[in-house]
Amino acid sequence: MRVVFRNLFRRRVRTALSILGVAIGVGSIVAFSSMGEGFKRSINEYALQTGADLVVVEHNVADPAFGRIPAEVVESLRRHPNIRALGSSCAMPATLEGGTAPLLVIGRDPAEPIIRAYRNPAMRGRLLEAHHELMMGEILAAELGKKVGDDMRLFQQSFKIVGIYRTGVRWENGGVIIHMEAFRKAMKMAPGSTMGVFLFLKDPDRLKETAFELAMQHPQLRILPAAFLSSGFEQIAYVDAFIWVISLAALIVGAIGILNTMLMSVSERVREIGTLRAFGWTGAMVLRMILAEGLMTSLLGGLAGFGVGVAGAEALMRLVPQGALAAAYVPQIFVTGMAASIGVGFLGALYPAWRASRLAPAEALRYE
Amino acid sequence: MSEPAIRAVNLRKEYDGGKVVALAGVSLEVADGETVAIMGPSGSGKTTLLNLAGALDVPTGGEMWVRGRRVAPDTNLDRLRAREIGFIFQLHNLLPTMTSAENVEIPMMALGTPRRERRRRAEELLERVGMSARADFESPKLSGGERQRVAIARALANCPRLILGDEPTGSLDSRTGTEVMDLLLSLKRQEGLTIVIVTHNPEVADRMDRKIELRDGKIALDRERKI
Repeated sequence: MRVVFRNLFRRRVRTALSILGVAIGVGSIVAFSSMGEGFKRSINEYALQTGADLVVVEHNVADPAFGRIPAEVVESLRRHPNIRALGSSCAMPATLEGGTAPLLVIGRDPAEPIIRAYRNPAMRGRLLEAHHELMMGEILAAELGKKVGDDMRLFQQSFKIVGIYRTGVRWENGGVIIHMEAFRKAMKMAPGSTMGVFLFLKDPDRLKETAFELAMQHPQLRILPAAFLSSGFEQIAYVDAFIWVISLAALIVGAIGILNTMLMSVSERVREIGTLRAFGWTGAMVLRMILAEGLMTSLLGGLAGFGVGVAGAEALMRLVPQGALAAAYVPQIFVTGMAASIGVGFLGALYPAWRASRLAPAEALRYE
Repeated sequence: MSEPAIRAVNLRKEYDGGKVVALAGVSLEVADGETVAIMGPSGSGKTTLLNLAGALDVPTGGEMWVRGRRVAPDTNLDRLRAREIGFIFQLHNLLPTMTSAENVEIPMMALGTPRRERRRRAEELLERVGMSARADFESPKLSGGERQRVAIARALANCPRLILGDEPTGSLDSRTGTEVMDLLLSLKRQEGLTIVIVTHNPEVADRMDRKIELRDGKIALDRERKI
């Protein structure tokens, strides 16, 4: 083990560079995955804070914002015996006149319970009641210098800011809440229609059965537990796939780095390998030694990658407007990163190790 | 009479499918406990003979037996080398990233000796070659003579009966070379080792029981030392 380390450190710069190669690959996994995970969690948190048990979105739309659930379907959901209350929910990104960064516009019906998510001790002002009223997230309010009682133009219309809110979902604090009717009008949606519905159950213990029954009645809808709203955003799956493609490319580069380093290392040590063989080391022992060196390099790269990934995610989040994203560094991501680094080390070192193990002892000893 | 340490029967070694003939029919026996110098001009087949005696390579014709085991593709040559043979090389071939003690442990690793036992034996051997004080030095920090002493300790690690040396004093000044040979021969007397070394140095050869001269892959001279 100590000898493995000393072999790695006899060419410090070269080893450091191949560690860096792996670190970039693992770092990209950690950075992008933790941001993706943070985004998913914030979507789930957005649903959970309403207090609803189930969320209904349309099937076959990549983003629930493209869904249109008609009024009669909403009414049919309401008739299910286990439904205590429901709330329509709409959300769209919009830009302000004057062209700042996009902000999220959320539609809420003041008569429905989900609006209460915004009423907490951090709130200034009150919940919206009328069509021309608007509640603004704290981050956006600070950015625009708005306070309760000010006016704001949106969708060629003037709104009065009646409340400034703060929730546990960062991007929501960079958005605004308007009346559901005003939202439908701005988006030219049919009366009573909605993008999503939050369901409150009489008996939350029967959540699974209720979701199943509703799904059977409405095959065009996805009925999700509130804690899993993010799985209703199929586009996130594309983003995940994209993350993997980028990370895989970076990992392949890392593996090539290890391959190159270990090949050079083996060719420099042919006579040493011949010596080991002369004293009875088998080809398999030589193979294991070179593999161990490659794996050690990539494990160090993986550990460095954790640092690179966290630093990268923190740096990227600063670029996101209004601090709207919080990376979630869940253990799973680091386990994946470690597994990736082990894979990279193994793949990169396998061929050099195999070559080293196949050296003929007599020729290896003659090698200058 | 005990089994010879080395027995070669019409030994041939060709390279490049017969274009290069390194050994063209060598027959010899080296008795257990004998010391032999192999001499001859370069290209005469000395190193090839030593490689075959060391089970580092297999012959293309004839037979090579080392301590009763045939050097052939279907023999476990790794095992044979680990148990029966200790090598000493001209350039010592110590691994530079390992300490003296770790270098001595290399042959024991091949046999899967437990770490504690390896360390104990390495310390004992380094003491015998006068290198205890340098046990934890990596080889680049040692002098040429010191390195060769460590290399001798390493060759003895698994208590082999046969020591093969390829110019073991070739990279040392004459005084250090004499000291290394003194050490080797005193160990030989204590352990009853068989020693076969390739050398260009007549003084080294004169200290051996027997001198074999190779020319063009054949034995040109095989002479016991006059006592």
